[in-house]
Amino acid sequence: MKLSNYLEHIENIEIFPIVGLVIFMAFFVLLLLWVFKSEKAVMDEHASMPFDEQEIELQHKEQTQNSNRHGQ
Amino acid sequence: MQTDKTNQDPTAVANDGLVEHFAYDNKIVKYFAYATIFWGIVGMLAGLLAALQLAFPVFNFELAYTSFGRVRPVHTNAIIFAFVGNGIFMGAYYSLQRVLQTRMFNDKLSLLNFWGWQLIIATAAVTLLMGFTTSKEYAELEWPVDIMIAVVWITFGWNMLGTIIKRRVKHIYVAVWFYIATWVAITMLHVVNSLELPVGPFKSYSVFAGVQDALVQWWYGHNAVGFFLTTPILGLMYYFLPKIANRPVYSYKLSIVHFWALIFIYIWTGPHHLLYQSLPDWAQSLGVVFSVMLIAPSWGGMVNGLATLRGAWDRVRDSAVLKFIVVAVTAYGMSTFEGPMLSIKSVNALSHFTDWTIAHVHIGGMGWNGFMIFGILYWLIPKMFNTNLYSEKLASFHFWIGTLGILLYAVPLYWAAFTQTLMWKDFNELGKLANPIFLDTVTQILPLYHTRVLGGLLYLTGAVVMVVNIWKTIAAGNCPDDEPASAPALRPLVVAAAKAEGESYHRFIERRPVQFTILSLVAVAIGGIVEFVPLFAIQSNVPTIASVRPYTPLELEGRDVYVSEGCNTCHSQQVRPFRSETERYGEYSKAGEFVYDHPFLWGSKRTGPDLARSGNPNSLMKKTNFWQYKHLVNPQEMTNGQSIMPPYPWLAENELDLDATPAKIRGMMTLGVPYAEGYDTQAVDDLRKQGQEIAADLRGQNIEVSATSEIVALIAYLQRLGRDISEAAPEAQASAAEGQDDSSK
Repeated sequence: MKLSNYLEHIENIEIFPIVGLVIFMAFFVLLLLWVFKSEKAVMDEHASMPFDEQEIELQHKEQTQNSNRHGQ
Repeated sequence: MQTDKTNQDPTAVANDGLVEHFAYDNKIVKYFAYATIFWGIVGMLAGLLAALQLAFPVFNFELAYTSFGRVRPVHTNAIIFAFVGNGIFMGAYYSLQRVLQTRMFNDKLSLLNFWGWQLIIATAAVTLLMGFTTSKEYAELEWPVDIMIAVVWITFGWNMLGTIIKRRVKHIYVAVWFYIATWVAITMLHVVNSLELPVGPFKSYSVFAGVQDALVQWWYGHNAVGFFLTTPILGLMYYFLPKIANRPVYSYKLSIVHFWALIFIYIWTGPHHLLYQSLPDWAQSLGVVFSVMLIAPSWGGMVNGLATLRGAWDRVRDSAVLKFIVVAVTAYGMSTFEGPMLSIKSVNALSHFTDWTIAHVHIGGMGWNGFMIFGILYWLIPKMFNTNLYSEKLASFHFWIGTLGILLYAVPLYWAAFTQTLMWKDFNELGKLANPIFLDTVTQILPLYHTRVLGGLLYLTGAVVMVVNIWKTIAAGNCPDDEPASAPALRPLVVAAAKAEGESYHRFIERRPVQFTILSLVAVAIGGIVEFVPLFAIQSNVPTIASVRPYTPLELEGRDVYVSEGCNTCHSQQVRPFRSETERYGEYSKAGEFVYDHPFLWGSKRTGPDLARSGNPNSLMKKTNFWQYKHLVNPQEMTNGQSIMPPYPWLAENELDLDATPAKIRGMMTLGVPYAEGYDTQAVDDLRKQGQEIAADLRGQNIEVSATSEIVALIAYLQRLGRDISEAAPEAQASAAEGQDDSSK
């Protein structure tokens, strides 16, 4: 028997879209909670991954100069 | 420090106990950069030719190989898969090695990926111009090329996952997540949408028919935009924008939310290409809701990109690279706002089938994709060749002329779209269509098509200036194939298969590439499954119509000619349930009319009128065989020189390949089209008979043409479109005949 013959007999198949939406919303809310609970230091470390150590030092230097300039 | 051993073998790793020394493979990045530039120019030239053809039909050159229906797919495929595709590989191969602190997994796989992709592109260009096409937008390539794509794409994925697995860092940076999602989603989309039954060396029929084929195609089509033109470019944005601006991404937290929300939502949105068409309402509503939701993650990404430039905006004034990137990200924001707006049904009722869609995709294509790749090239080439950009001024010139080009391209098309859609829908005080002749709405917007050519020309000029600038930069510098690098060896936790105590699930997934890939697949598969299964499984979703019968062999051959010439590029076959359309074309289209259509040919743009009712005697679209013949051979002659349709004189000279007809009938039977058992042996005789009837009719009008020529087959097909629903169902015919018999007794 063809697969479609079995599929035709899935009961309440119309509810699929709602189930999909619920799965997504649940995943999304949990993800949001987890993300905002995450430590900033770890996130900063991850965000700096494209840079090598020299570049990070330069960025820090630039940031310090900027904050000094704003503080004056 | 580089060791002697590394110099001899770039993939070798010397370990001094703490730090490992290795080399980045710059050669492959360089190759992809050259290919990006070369195919970019080719793709833009093809686009310029297509724009010229729409403005001045003489540019079709009266040749099959250079007619608009074949040139347009060459342009779209060249831009998407050749220009942007090579650009993606260029950026991915460069950034993967750096954020994972390792050389690519295997140099041979890298080269196979490169040369395989170029071979696909070259084959695609040749086969499309020869008329070998499946007709499915952005998936036009025939089955042998589909197999080549699958092989090369798997090579890329294997190489990428291998590289991720052998990395020297614990966390996988967010740019790489986007590359993984791209690979997973494109694999899935390509496989499902390419399910086709070969019936010849470069000919196949989609296994899906009608409404189901339409849903699969636009699930693919929209996600080709989502997962080939968006997610990989976002991956490039998350790596190159921080590097170019020299500051980390604005919010890493936002990038995580951006990633998961985007990949999950994108996959659902395909049905917004089929609004008011023969698709069940629930599927249309799903497409609309998810399309509107898509604004949130898209704009989250745009804000994250632009905010990364905090404190660096002053540098935008002096840096052409940053200018390109800023406009690219802004264009991304514009097109991802416009997309959801176009998905709202009331807006779509006006915009669909017009140049609005073309303008929309070019904001994305020229602005987001093109400018992002130009910006990356201007930054990457001097860096890899250890020199400065030859001319910052020329780069700046490229930026300004390119921006002007985008504006001159898109604004006239928006104008054209508003004008034409309002003309289509306009009724006079008598309640009749104000513009019953479709061609009048085309000639009205022709000046805007001319302006569009200028926009494209400016954009191409900018790209040519870039070629000179990059060429001079390369000539002044030197790019070693292997760039020495070093990194601390991998720590044990990275390779630990189990989740560590106190480690969150997401943290665990972030360092497990295979699990991450599977989870991405689940996220992108849900939308497709939820949309497909009910449509394929429940018969009530595609109500059948008793009077709809399979095509005759001649009509089937004519349909293949229609596909081969790319008629669906300019003509839709889908009458939407609006009064303005039913008045112009006839009864609106229903899902049951398309059950034997492998593939569906609903089209997405009306450069010419809809043809769904061209064979329906109750429709104004119905024309005689004589008119169809004369119009196909020389459209200008039939329209006082006004039509912009290319002439197709070769159709009257080309003979059908009748040796292939039985295989086509057998193919259709395999796909479930109810021809009688053994009909393939009778098909050619029936074809000749029907062809002779049309040829005899034309002979009566002093036109001598072979009964088995392509033009006769195409006329037969056009005369069939929409005819079935004007006829009674076979049972009704039978009972009517019985009634007559009874009354005659």
